[in-house]
Amino acid sequence: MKKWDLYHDIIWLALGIASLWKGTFSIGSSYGNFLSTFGAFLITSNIINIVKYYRSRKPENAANHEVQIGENILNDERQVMLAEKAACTTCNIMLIGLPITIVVCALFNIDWKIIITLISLWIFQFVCRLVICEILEKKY
Amino acid sequence: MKNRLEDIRKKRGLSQEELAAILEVSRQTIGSLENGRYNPSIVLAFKIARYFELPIEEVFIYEEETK
Repeated sequence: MKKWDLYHDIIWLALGIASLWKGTFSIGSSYGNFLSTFGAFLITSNIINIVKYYRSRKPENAANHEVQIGENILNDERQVMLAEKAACTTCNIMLIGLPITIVVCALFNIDWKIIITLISLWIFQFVCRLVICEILEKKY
Repeated sequence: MKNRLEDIRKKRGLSQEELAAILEVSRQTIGSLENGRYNPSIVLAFKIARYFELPIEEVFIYEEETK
């Protein structure tokens, strides 16, 4: 793990604490429950990551950690290609998954705000893909 | 695209880990190259050919896809 990962985890931990703190004031409402759960999730996952970071820094774990880094060389072109393919496939799945979710939400009469948010996300994803494609077209 | 990487590497007495360290890629990349599951970039292909001091055509064999 790099130093930047630690800062990243600390930022998310602070956001988790803020969410939990804000959520406890309106517990009982769906908004408060959501914030508390989200906050608790962020706190737990980021504390685990921070502990992992400090454990990897210990001298007795350093050798093992170096081996792990060696196995996942950051500029390894195959790893980069796999990550890009995975991101692209996930994007394609989401472009199909989101409309299905919208239809399901509409069928079950779920709050229109949620449906509008999902539709906005779907449109954003679609537009974002086109814009990035245009930028890349000009760049390469 | 086929390649003779495994033969060449074994003739030189190198392990996959050693070759991966020399080429600054992961061991899995060498494994995938040797199995023919992954086609390298032109840069990596040249790096491999240069390391073994062989023309690129002797390491990688291009075959046109049959339709």
